[in-house]
Amino acid sequence: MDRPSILNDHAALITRLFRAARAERWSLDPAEFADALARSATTRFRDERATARDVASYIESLHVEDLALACACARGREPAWEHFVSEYRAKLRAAGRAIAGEQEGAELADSLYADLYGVTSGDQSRSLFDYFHGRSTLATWLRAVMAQRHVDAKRASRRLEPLPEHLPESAPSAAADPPDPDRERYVRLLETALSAAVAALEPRERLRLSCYYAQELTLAAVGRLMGEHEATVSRRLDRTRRALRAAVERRLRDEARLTDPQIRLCYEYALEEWPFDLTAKLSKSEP
Amino acid sequence: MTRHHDRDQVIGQALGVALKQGTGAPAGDCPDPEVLAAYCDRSLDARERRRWDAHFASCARCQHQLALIVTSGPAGPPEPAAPRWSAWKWLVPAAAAGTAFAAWLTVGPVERPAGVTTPPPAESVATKTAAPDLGADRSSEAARPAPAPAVPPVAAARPAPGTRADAAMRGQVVAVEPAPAPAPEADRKVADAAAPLLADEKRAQLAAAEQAEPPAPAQGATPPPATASGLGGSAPGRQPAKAAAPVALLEATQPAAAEREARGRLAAVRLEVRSPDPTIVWRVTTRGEIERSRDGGQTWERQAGPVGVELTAGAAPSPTACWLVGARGVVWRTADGERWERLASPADAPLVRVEARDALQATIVTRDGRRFSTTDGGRTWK
Repeated sequence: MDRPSILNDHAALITRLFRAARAERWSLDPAEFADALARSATTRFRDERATARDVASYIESLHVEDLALACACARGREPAWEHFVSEYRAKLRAAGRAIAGEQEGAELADSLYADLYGVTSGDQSRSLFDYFHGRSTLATWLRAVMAQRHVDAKRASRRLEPLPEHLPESAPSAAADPPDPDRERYVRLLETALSAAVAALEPRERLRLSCYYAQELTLAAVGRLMGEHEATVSRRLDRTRRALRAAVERRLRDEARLTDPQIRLCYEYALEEWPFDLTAKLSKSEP
Repeated sequence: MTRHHDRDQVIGQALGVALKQGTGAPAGDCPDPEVLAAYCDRSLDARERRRWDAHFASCARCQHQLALIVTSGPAGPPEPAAPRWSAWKWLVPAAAAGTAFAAWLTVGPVERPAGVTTPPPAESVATKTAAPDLGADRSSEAARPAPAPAVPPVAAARPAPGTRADAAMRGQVVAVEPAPAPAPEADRKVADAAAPLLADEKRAQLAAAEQAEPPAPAQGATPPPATASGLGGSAPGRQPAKAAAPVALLEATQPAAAEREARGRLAAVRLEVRSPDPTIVWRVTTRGEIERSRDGGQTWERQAGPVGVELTAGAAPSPTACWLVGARGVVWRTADGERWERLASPADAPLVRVEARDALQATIVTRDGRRFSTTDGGRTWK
């Protein structure tokens, strides 16, 4: 699939979408808009074969108003830039602060804004706006770009952090009884069983769990991401947790050949091994 | 020796540890921001979505990006509606409401007691305030409604981490100070005890209403016997020494429009609990009824009760989750904003405070200072 064939096969649709996008507001001409649509489609279907119907359906699903704005900004059209600055500059900064905090967030937003404007880019032939293909709203795409930059910066800085000079001393054991020689083995068995049970989950179930437990999103935020109602998220998390517990105990019983008392010990040692106090966490949240 | 209810706790805690240590897929497999954004806006087709679900489920880097995208701006496409079963069950009461309204039109307005006038909204700010944008826009404490945005919604400045406002924004801690424990005498003293929650004019209307109308008899049957029911009920035969399953489930009702308005004017309120959405408010009347307003306090609908026990504190970390606690260790919760269930409590002592992060995680505090926490919606406590 190439751009000329897309432009040729879908000319009427592209003309209709040009009108729907009100692209003339931004001094964008139909050929430029058509080229943006064609580029979006070739990017989407570069790794697969697509029929004309697939392409038409895809093009119709795009956020064409935002695409027209981005396309016009990429070409330096003044009306488009005026609109972008008035509508998006503040949102960019607010999103940056939400992503990276007050100071870092402002820098993150300003840096992206500069890249969009083309100030820092030495290569003026391709604007950062050209990477927006209309598959989402422009606002979401801008947040995604900032999120990626922030996450990658954090991951890079973690790799560069020096190792501690000395390891913290482990807390003295509070147990009066002699330690169980199987303690470590029981904890590892439980860990292994849980990891295997989690790996066997459907991807969406794993993603829901990760968003809630690893990313610590609220139920509402998980719901927005997964396209589910908050109550549905809550119910499914509960169901997944019960299923995991059943799977863990099945593995401990059938594969590790543990008896019920031994399984109870697994939980007991794990509870001591992984201390977690919600009350302490809540207390830290109060001023 | 572990108790059975500790096992779910261990699983929940272990998930937090295990999933945070999840391996990231090689960078070459990760999608560009275009796909991440389209995923959040739910504009990928089904096949693409399944493909990226599989990647995101294992990639900590992408999960982190998705979390930041979702929490850094207003919601994209509208949230899906509540589960369908809760929609059609309102058909019959809605039809009844329509019939009652038609009857009201035929019969004429009901004569109201002297001195009772339509009260102002419970919180004037709440009724004038637009629902805040989700995510980073919630900058105020959840106990107060968010200020109306002066411009099209933008993500407001995020409160400093560790503050109550930040925690409230994330729905972590939303607590309402409990009303003072009322004296066990006349209704007038009960009304006085609830006075801090009422505006002066509402108190006056309440006094006039109480003089004009006799107290209503207790309504509703006592809660059904303890069974494993409702959200998260445990399987029979696995009940620990302290029952972990909810012991009662009361279905919400859909009152007629006239009754809702009257209830808004005449109810004596013991406790009011506001959610982060200023239009969603719960309250507990002195008759022990749990009511909800979806318009910032102008009208109310009874959802449950009388619960038979005094409820004294509450927390609503979201518009669909609310926890209520009270005497004799009573804990009530709704996880969908509609159905209420009474949860088994770890203590028989009076409860004076509840702090909730969401429908699953909360901490309750007894009068003598003991704290109990749950991470599974109240099935188990630690």
